Amino acid sequence: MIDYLTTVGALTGIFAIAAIGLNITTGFAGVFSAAQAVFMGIGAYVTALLAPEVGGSLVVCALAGVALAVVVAFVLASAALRVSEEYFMVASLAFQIIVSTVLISWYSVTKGTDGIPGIPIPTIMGAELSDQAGQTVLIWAVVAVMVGLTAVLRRGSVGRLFYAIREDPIATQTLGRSPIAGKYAAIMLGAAVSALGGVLYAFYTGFVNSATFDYAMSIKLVAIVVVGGIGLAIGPVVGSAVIIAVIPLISLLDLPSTAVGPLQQLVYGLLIIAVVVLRGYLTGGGLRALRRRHRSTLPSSASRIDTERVPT
Amino acid sequence: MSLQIDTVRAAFGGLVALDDVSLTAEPGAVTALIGPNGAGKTTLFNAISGLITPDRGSIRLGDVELVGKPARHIAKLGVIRSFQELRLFGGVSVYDQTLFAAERRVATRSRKVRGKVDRILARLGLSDVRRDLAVNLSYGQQKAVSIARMLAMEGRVWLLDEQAAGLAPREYDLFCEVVDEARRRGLVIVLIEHNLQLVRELADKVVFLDRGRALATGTVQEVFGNDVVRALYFGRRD
Amino acid sequence: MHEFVQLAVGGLLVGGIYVMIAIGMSLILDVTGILHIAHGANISLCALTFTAVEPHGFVLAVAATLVVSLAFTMAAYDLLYRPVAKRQADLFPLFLASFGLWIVGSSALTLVFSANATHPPTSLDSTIDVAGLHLVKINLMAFGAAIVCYLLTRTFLRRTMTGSLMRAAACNGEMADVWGMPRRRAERVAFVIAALLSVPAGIFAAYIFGAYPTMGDVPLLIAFATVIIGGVGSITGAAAGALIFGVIQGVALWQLPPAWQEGVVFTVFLLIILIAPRGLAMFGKGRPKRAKPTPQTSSEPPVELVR
Repeated sequence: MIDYLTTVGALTGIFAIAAIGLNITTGFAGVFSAAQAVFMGIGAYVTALLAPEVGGSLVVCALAGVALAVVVAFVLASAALRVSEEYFMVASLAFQIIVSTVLISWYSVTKGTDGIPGIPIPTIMGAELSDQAGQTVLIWAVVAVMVGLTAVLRRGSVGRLFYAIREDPIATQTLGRSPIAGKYAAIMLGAAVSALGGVLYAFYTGFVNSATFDYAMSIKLVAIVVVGGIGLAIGPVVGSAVIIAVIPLISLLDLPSTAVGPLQQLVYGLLIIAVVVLRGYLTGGGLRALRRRHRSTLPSSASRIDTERVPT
Repeated sequence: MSLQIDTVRAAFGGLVALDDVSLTAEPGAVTALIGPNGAGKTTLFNAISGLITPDRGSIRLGDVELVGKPARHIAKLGVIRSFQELRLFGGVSVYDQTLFAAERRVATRSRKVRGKVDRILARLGLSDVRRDLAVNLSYGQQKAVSIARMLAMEGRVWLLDEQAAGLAPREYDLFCEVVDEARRRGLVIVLIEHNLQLVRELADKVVFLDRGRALATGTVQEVFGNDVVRALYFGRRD
Repeated sequence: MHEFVQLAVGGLLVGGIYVMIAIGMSLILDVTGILHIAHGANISLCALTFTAVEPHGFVLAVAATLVVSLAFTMAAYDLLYRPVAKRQADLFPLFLASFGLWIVGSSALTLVFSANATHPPTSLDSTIDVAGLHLVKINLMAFGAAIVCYLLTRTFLRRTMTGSLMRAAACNGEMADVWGMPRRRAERVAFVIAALLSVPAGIFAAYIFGAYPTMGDVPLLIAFATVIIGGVGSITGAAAGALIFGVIQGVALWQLPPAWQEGVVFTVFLLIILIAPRGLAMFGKGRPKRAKPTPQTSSEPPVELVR
């Protein structure tokens, strides 16, 4: 039972870290990525392949995984940001499918669905973190650092740039700032944090395969971010507690094993819808109409009234 | 440093929005653009601020050609604009978006900048709502935030797109004061206005646009007294 | 080389299915701005419904497919998108809602139907030989159906009052209001057309790919890709893009194992937007205007001039 709880606790932390990355990209800068599992996967695969070579050094694997994820994110952003922001999501889904194809089919490196087992125990500064409890503590320490960093980021000048992009890229330009540069930053930063989650995932489970980082995982990360509260620094932790710790309790019901996965997905979907609908009721949202196309009735009607004011 | 617009033309799918418009806006003066809806006033602002690229013609600030430059470079050169629909960052606090406008880049040293933002918000009567999200403000306050962002940017040219429309009397007076102060600091001020009372009070120069063409340019008296302008613009009511 | 041509033509025919989906997506995106990703679940739903009812009679199966397609799509519009849009004018919540609905739809179908692909029985899966190429009859029919759907939609948009008002709504919502066309009706008609088009798309997809709960996802994503590549706002561009992707998908089999097929298609997609971000249309229309983001303000002048 204790083992089970540490496992759930550790996985909740790992997914919180991966979702913090997505929260930076989607929640702060408003760039919807449906490929965040890819970056987590990059971190995990780099760890799986590199850890045996470097004696399980966590720092080396983390640096390598994060670096590769940032490079890949840059490539994705270069292609996807060329089309309008609304379609970044389509490009990212396409990217997710490309990477899934590669992970499955490039058997000589990734071992496809068979996966890579036997990832060594992580070491930090020469010390082995051999027990699960120790790793769990480490994971949650990383979670705390990441939440703190995103909270600082959110309040600082980078956070203001991200928010400006999310709210209105055109106004951002006319205030002399580059929305594109900000989007690159948000995508690469988000990829880096998610990759770190992937590194910790690989070390914790000791096994990676191609099925883990498919689009179902990306959907899970979206669900975590949305349920926890988009754009809140602590949101991914709350979301991860719900999605990773609570919803898998579905498997305690007496269900055929094939039904558990889809049922979980169903709940994620319903939760996303519920949050979106509820948010509308909570915020009222009426005045947001000011800045969106085909709905800007207030300013134009105001100006029309003024047109009638004619000198006598 | 004056803003010179020379034979600027912009067409959208056969509809000519700007038909060889030329005008000069001098520093330390308020130039008012008037004309009916669809005259091309906002399109001209879009062309100056780089949101659209004219088909031909030139727009210069002093010796610097603006046509072809991206919008953010034009903004960095000090040509800053407001939008008729304001385009505030609705989900961001008044303070944060003014601060954002005051920051030139990501890592600006902030002590001085923050002091400036505080002064601007106080000047515009926004100190009490500085922590509020822009969406939750009244229409007049939202317009004040739009002005606050422009003040924070400093800049050399202001393009004001119907900023006085829909203001309460006190807000209106404050707006006139702020524009007047900017004029005395030597800014180039171009404003689009339908409220001709305001044009009379503030404008040093008036340009009448109709169907993409600058039909009359001159002082308030000259343009308001122009027969063509009277027929096209005021004549509708006679 | 002969094999290459064979694969290309085979892909072109399958591209017909993508055409039918892409036209519907393109219309919804233009008129409402919603990236209706839940449509993928609708395609699967159509294919599965048809396959399940088909043993009881072909006509009955088509009717049942029509009913579920309209019911799902209109429920998405009236029960989800409208209430969300009423309270949040942003497009982002609408998109998230659609994303959620897509997940709900796919997973619900996975719970109800078998994960294995089922093909409705047909005698049309034989081939005929044209100019030395083996063409599958049902694929030829899918291609024909796509052409008919394209022509019908185009005629509707060009010749009917509702159609031209929808085109107006796609350009500018306020103008449609001015002309007395309620926005809601334009939006609803766009969704109805998409629902109607997904009936033949789903049926042919069931015959050609086999029906399974997540079958609609990749065709939908391909359709989205084509809408982007083909240039937003043009059903002709979307249809052409869909055929191109069909060909690419077919040709991908030439030197690579089938597992790489989807990867190749989407790699080509990303390469195309890297090279031609404004879509393939930019090659056809001469020198494009400078690629600037077009704010709402820039769509304003023509409208004002019309008034």
